[in-house]
Amino acid sequence: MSAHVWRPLLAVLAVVVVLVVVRQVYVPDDFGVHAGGYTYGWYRAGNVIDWKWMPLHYQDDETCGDCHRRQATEIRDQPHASIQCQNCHGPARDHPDKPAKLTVDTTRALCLRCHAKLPYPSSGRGGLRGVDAVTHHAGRQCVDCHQPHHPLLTARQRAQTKQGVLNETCRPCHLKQVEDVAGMPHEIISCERCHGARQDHPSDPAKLTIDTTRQLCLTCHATKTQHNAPRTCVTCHDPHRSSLEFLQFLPASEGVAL
Amino acid sequence: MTRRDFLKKSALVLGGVLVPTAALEILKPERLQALLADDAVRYGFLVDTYKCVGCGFCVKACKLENEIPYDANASRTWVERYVLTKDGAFHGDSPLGGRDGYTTPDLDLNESGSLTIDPEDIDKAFFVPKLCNQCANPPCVQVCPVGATYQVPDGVVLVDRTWCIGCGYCIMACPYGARFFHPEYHTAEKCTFCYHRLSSGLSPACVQACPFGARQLGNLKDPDDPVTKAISTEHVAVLKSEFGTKPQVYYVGLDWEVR
Repeated sequence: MSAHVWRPLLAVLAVVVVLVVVRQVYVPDDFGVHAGGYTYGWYRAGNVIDWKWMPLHYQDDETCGDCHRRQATEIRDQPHASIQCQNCHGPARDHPDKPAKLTVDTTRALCLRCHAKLPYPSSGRGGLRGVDAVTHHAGRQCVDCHQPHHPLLTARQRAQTKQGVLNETCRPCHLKQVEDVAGMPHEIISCERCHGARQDHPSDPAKLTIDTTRQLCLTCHATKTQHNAPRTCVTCHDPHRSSLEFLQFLPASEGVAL
Repeated sequence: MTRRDFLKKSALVLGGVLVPTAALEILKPERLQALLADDAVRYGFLVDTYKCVGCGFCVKACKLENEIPYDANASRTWVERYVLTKDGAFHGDSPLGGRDGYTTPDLDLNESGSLTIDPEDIDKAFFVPKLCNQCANPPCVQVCPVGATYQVPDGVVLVDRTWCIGCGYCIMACPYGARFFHPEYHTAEKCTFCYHRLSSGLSPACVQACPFGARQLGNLKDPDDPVTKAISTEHVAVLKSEFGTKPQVYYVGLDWEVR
């Protein structure tokens, strides 16, 4: 055969050889037809392993109680027992290594996922206790009054039944203050809310930093933005005994002319 | 050639032609092994629409577990709300796939605004969680031109992110809208029944997150599995059965209006 026949043939042959070599290099050995046949089982087998080793974010909820025994026990016979911890506390990932502390979602929006009343008697939603999200203490956080681990008790009832565990922690040393606040409107607020996180107090920190700003009080008393501004509220009001006539608890020297 | 030889050889050739090559292939040891080993599990999913309250914890958990960008309007699973009014009309919405739960009676109609329905007019309302049906005959796998999506013998359909060329054929082929482009990888993305969790002995993130037991995963090959029992003894339905895809996500209490 003459050259004008061989040349294109060789060119085609070269292209085929290049394609075969590229395919050999580029396509992994485990790519091919597997169980399932050509229609459904044509893939790279290593990818199944890749998927099996994707990182976990939500840990098995059963393991939370291994360390957080009190919380796991107290919620056990409560209506919220069926809610997994990580729904509110966030995915545990590699906690306690990373992150060392989970960020709990205390927003109103989280509670409203179930407790915004919807008029759907034909759905399971209709049977849940719900509130009108617009009128029921709008702007406040549910956890200001309700304890998610004890949802049937208001925060006040819980404090009065001495289940206010956080305040119980402070009681042994700060007996006077805990007794002062008992029965008062602010007994529903944990000490940490104003005095800051306890951490390892009294060793570290030796002294907690109390938040006496106007801003903190305005979190709940939102309508009082103009009331004697810009004085701090604690100038006149004793936060521990706030329901009583306030000035009588302040020493005369601290009395202020109004 | 004698007549006897001719008949013998003809029979041999005919027999050889009739034996399908697939029948011979099954005898390959590795193929046989795969078939036997995977015999134990076929994952199936059971959704109870009576139990779903539309809290959206499943969607939130799914997005965080599977690293789907949280604020992107794309999700491997989603919850739809259906409201049937007394005039016979059906209304539905699924804002952000129900990620933040349903906290208002008003329906979110995207750019058309919102729809307020008088509670007196509601005939029936319910929520339907949806996810990939892990079809026994997955059309998405059939159309993939490069072998990037496939069915594992345990029934789960996966996508090879390193192999996907992003042509979007599978997204078009899925009758359930269960597939989408991953906003970061730009490859086809879908529910895997949390394959990484299954291999660690955990339930899928949505199943674990559901406080009401509306979502369950089971092994359809285990007759004692609660999901298998429910599917074989109760009234269950699948989505779009007329497509012949043989979905493996079964619904209890599925209304005929749900598609």
